[in-house]
Amino acid sequence: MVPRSELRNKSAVIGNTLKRVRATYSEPQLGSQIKTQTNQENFFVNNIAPRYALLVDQEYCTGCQSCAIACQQEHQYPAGKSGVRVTEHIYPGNDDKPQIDFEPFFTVICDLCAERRAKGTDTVPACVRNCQAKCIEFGDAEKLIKSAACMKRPALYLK
Amino acid sequence: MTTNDYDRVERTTVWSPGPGCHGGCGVLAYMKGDKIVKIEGDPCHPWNQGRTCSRLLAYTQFLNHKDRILYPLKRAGERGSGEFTRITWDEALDEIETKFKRFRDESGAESVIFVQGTGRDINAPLTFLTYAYGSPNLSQLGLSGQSCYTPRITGSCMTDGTLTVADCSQFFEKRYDDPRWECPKYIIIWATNPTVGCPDGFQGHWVIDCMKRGSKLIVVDPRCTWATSRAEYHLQCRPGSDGAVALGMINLILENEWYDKEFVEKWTMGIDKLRERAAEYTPEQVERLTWIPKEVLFEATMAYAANRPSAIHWGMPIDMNPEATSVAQAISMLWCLTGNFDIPGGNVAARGAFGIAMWPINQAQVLTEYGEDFLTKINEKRIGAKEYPYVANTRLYIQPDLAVEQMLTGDPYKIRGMWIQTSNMLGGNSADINKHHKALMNMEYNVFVDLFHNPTTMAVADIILPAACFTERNTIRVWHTPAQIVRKLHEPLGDARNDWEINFELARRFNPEIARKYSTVIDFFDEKLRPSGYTFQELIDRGGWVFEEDGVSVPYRRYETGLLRADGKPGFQTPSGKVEFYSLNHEEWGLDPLPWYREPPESENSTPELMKKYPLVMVTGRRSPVYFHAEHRNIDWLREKDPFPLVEVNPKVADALEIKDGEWCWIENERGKIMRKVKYNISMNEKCVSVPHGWWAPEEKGNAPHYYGAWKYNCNKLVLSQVGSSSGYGGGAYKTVPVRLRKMEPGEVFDGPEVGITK
Repeated sequence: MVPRSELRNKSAVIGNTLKRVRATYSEPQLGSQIKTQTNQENFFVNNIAPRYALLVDQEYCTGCQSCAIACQQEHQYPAGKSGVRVTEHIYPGNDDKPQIDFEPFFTVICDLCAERRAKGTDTVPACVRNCQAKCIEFGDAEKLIKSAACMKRPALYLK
Repeated sequence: MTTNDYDRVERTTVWSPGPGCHGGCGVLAYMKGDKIVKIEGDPCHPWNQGRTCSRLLAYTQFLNHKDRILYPLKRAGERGSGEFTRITWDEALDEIETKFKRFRDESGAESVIFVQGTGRDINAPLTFLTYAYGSPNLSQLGLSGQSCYTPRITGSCMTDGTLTVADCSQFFEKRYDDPRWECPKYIIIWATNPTVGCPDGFQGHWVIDCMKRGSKLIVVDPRCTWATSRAEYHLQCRPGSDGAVALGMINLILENEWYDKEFVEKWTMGIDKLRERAAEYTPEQVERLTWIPKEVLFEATMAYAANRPSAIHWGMPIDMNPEATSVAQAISMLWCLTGNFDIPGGNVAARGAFGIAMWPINQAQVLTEYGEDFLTKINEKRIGAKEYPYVANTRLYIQPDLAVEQMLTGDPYKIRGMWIQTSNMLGGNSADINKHHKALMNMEYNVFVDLFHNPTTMAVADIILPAACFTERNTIRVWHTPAQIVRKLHEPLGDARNDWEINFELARRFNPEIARKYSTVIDFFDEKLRPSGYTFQELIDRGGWVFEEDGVSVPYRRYETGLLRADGKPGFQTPSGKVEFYSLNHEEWGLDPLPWYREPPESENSTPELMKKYPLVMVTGRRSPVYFHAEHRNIDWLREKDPFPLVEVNPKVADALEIKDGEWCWIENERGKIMRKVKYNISMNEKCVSVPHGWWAPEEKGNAPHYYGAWKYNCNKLVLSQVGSSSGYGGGAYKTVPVRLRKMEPGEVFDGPEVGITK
C-alpha cells in the first residue's frame, strides 16, 4: 500500500511537467473582490472567472481516447455514455495541407469528477490526470485564462 | 460501490495481458478487498509520469470479461467445431508433457515449433521453455520475414553493433530534468505513428514531451497523421520505398559534406565505398522511386544533419520493406554520419539496466548461458539457418516463411506439434491466412496459451491453457531501463495462471536440471536481478523500479569508455571495432556489404501489369489508439471508440468507384477478397488505401466456417507469404499489397471460396 503523502512527495521530484499537473487547485471564491484594470476585464472576471474550467491545448490532443475512458471508468458509465468524447477533424489546413486534429468535447453530464475530488482520491478530474498528451488542465477559470496565454491553441471550457 | 470507494492503492507496473502492450508504465490500482475498482497511471513513475492509455483504463472490463477463458480446455469435437471441455491443470500438463516428450523421442525436439506474438512479456518465458525442451525452433510464426523489430535490430547492428533508440531522456530517473539530457532539435519519426502505438519499449507520448520542449518533427510516412500535421517536413513516401529514402539522404549528406567529420574520421570505416554506392541514389532517382519531391528531401535532410542533436524514432514498416535489414543498416548510418550516435538528444545505445538480459537475445548470449554444444545443436536444425545468414548468425528466431512451407511439406523434417502463446495467428499477423490455416491443420497437436477464444483457437487448438492478467501475476521487466517489477495484486480469476508459472512448470518436466536449479520462478527472477543488488521482494519494497546510476545502461558516448564492447575496449561491437559503413559481417556472409534498395515484390515498378488490374496499394496495419493488434474488439469501452473494420480511402478514388462514405465494400486481389467499411479521408494518398489490421469480430460465430469473421475482415488474407529478404529477416509485404476496391451490390454477401475450410 502506498500512503498518499508519499505519492505527493515523490511526485515533486520527477519531471517538471508533472509538477504543474499535480499542483493543487484552490476552490474559487464566489463573489470575492478581484482587482481588475479595465471595465471589460472587470465584467469578464466578475461574471465568468469564479467558475471551474477545463483548458485544452488543441495543438497537443492526439486523440488517444484516454480522457473518455478514464471518465467512463471513474463513473462506471456503460459504453456510449461519457462526460467527454473525442472528435477527429481531418481538413485542409495551412497551404491546403491535410490537417488532422483531435478535440475532447465535454458533454452535459461532465460533473468535473465531483466525488473523486470530494473524497480526496485526487485533486483533478480523471480525464486531466490520465491525459496522455497532458493537454488538459483543470482549475478556476481566472487562473486558467492566464495559462491559456502560454498555449499554442487553447480552448477554455467553462463549467 | 463507486470507484472512489477503495481501501488501498497498490503500485505495480503494467506489462501484457490487459492492455496487451509492450509495457513499462507505472500503475496505481485502487483496490477494495480482492477487487480492483479502478486503475490509473502512476504519476510518480518516470516512464509514463501518470499518463495512461485507453486499454489500461479499460482494464477492469478486460480482467472481468464474461468470455475470459478461466480453466484449461481440451477440444471435444472436430477441429473447428468450437467444442471444448474443461479439464484440470494436472490433466492438461500431463497430456502436453506426454505428447511433447513422444514427439521429442520419435522425431527430435525440432519437431515442435514454439510460437509467440509481439513483445509482450513472452520472449523470456517462451525462450526458457523452448530451450528446456530442446527445440531450436522459436518464432513469431505467421509474421512473414519475422518483420517486427528483428530486422531493425539486426540490420542496424551491422553498422554500429548495437540497438539504438531516440533519446527522450528515458534512461534517467529524473527524465527531462536530468542535466545530462538535451532535447533533440529534430526528431525524425520514420514509419510510425508514435502517439497511437507505443512500439518497442518506447512510450509514444514522449515525443510530445520533447515537442513541448522545442523538438521539431520530420515525418517519413505515406499517410497523413496527427504527427505529419505538426511536422516541419513530411516526406510522404511510396509504401516500401524507405530504403531509397535513406540512401537518398545518405547521398545528400555525403555530397554536401554535412557529416560529422571528426566522428567519421575517428570512429568509422568504409565511408568512401558508401559514398560510391550512395551516389547511385541521386535526388532525381530517389524522387522517382519514393514520390518525395527532391526539394523536400533536400531540405529535410539538411535540417536533420545541420541540427545536432537530432534523433530518429523508427517503426515496424521499416521491417516490412523488402531487404529490410539493408534499410535498417542504411538508416542507422544516418545517426552515425551526423554524429548523433549515443549523444544527449541523439540516438542512444539501448541497454538493459545493469546489463540484465532476461533471455538470450542473440547467439553470443546463448553461448554464455547454454554453452557451445547447445548453440551448435540448435543451429544445425534451426529452420532457415542453413539458407539465410542472419538466421544463422544474429537472433535466434527461425525463418517463418520457410517454416510454414515445412509444416506443409515435411521437408527437410516433419513438424508435428505447436506451442502457441500470445499469438492469434489467423486473426492477426499471418500473411496469407489460408496457407497458415492449412499448415496448422497439418499439425498433430496444437497447444495454446491465451485469455480469450479467437479465430486461431477455434480453428486449430487441441488444448488451451488460461493465462493470467497482469495484476494476477509476478514478473520482471528490464526493457530497457529501469529494472522494474510487475507484481501479483490479487489471486487470478478461476484457474488462470501466469505464463511464467506455466512455462516454468513444463520446463521442469522437460528438463530435470531446471527443477534442480530453481524451486520457484521467484528464484529465477532473483538470479536475473542479481546485478541490480535487489531481489524481487526488495524491488517491490523499494517501490517497484530501480535505475542504474552509473554503468552499461547509462548514456552517453559509451564507445569512448568501452561499455559497448564485450571485451571492454573502446569502440563498437563490430568486426572492425568501428562503425562500419561497409559491413565486414555482410562480406563474410556473402551479402552486399553496402546498403541497397530493393523494389517491393509487387509494385508499380516490379509488376506493372498486375498494378493495372489492382491499382491501389493497400497499406495495412495503421494503429488504433484503443486496440493492440488483434486484441480488445470485445471490450465495450474500447470497441465503442473504433467499432468497424475500416478501409480509409480518398473520396476522389471512392467516388470514381461509386463507393460512398460509410458503405461496406470489397477489397480484393488474386489471393482473395475481404469486406470493409469505407471511411472517406481527404488526407489519403490517391494511390493508396489504409487498412487497419487484426480485425475479427468476437460477437460473430466462432466455429467453422465463421471463425469470428476472420476470413471476412482480416486484410492479411490478401498479403503475399514468401521470403522477402536475402538476409532471411524482413520483407513481409504487408505494406505493399496491390488491391482494387469494388462496390458491394445490394444483396451481395460474403461467400468467398475460403469460407468453409475445415480440413
